[in-house]
Amino acid sequence: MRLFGEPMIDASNTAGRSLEVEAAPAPLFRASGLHKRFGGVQAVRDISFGVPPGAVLAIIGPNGAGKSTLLNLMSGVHQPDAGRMIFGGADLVGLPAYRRARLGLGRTFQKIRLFRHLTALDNIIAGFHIRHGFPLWQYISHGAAFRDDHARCRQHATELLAFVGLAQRAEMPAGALAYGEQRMLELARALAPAPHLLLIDEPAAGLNAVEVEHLLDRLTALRSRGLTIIVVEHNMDLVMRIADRVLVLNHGQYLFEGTPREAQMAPAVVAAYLGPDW
Amino acid sequence: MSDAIGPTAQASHDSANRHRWLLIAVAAIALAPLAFPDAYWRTNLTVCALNVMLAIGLDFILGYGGQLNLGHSAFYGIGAYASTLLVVNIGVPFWIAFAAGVALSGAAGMALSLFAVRLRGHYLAIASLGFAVIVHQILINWIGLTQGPLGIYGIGLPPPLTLPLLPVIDFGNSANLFYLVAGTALLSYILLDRLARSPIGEALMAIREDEVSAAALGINSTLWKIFAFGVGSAIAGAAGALYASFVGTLVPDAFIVTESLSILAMVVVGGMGTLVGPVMGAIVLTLLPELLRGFGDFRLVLYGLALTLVVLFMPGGLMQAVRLVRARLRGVPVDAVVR
Repeated sequence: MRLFGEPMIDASNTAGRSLEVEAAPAPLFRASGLHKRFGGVQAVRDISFGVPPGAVLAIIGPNGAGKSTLLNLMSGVHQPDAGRMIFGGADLVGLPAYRRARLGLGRTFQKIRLFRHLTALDNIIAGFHIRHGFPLWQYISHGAAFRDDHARCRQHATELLAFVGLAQRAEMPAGALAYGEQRMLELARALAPAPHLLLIDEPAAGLNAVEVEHLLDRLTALRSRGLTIIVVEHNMDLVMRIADRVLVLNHGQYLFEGTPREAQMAPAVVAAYLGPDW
Repeated sequence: MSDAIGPTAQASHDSANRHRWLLIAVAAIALAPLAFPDAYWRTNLTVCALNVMLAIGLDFILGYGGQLNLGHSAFYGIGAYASTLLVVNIGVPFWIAFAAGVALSGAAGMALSLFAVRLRGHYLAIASLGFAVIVHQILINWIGLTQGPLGIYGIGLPPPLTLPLLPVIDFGNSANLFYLVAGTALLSYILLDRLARSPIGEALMAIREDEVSAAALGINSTLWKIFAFGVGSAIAGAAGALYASFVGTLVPDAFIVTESLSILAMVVVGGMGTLVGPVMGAIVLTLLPELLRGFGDFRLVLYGLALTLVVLFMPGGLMQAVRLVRARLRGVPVDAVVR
């Protein structure tokens, strides 16, 4: 299936994919010394990390650890008080969210933020905003290039809906979809701009076991296509099965970074987050 | 795919449908003055066309862009006064003055939007309401320029229009004047419809629904909000320029703040976020008070009651009613069409 207009990432990354991510080339994304304070709360304190192209990084930690704040700093919802963020050679600090999206940074939200009154299909079509290609005057005089673009967008949107298993829901208003379907639609919409790096905020929250399996299957499919993913998640089973690396935060601070296995074994992580049952 | 018609077939079906409705609209405009030969009803028809322009312009800002603009009358007034003053004081040709009025209204809308771009919901509503109050006060108090409450009288009609292959069109004829205003309204409608069905419309609706999500998809919400405000207020300016030469008189109270609320009522009653809805809303709310004249002042009660009932029971306006009836006829589940 032709999911994306152009390859999201060059084939070498997919081919040379390895679990030993330290051995990989320069990171696609690198943050160093990030700080963010909201009033008296230090939400993120001196966080540094990097993601090589094609890798999946999971960010875990107790509620209030600063995971979502970190994603918001990366995607541009908030600007950091201090620190640097480099994404594919571009400095992200100071750039508004929409400019970061144009650089190839996509995201979903912890609290679902769909365009509720638009249909599922139109939600995704809105995601093609930065990928339209027709001359300016055809915004008013819809010509052949406009119609081709329109048909191509609908086609791609239909494929993306099928990818997340929502082909039958294309004409339903997004707000009328079941909760799990809304989560998958948000994922499909985030893929529409063909991002190089996808930030996913708690995709499994509120999903039942069957839906979690479906989600995992789709994330695995994206990973095998070479998409770089940063996922914030509480479902440890999902984290263990999808992530190459795990970054653990606690009270806005760095606690641990390593493979999922190492995280499971680390006494500090067990004490702060996982608990002795793991 | 379970659908009987694929995306491409659906698109050409929609396009054929649109062309059919466009022809119906052109025919209705052509026949309207013939069906209503007396001056009173022709005046009402022309006012209808002006209100259609105001309503669809506001709908582009509010229904598509999600910006609660309560000051649309200001842009109507700016277009009217700017074009008229250029004609009366400096002797600028009508159509150049018309273009200047449109441009100035559009620029004022963009400027207001630029200042208000961080404001949302109630705050933008108050800012735009304040802007309309300021414009109204300027029209009243800058007597040297606008002649204040005394008003400007004896504004001329648009000059006769010479088009190839047609006899000279004289706007002293009330039917021709209606054709001019309704034709401009139709062109405005086509422009907004094209924009609304382009990626610009998709971006505006995304911004209306959720600005944070829109930004995450690369949509520059500041740019498109200013654009929508500019286009919507430019169309109000066009309506204002035509209004002045249609009525022949300009007084500041024609652009009092409550006019904005009347325009808003047309958009809401018709159905925000669709262009057909506000057209229907403008026609119904312009003609209804005329039809209810037999009831004397009681008609205002009926008018208010109709408005309240729509907002309470049919928040999607007349278009929601149309969709519900269509769904019933086709046997589609009703909750799939309610916005």
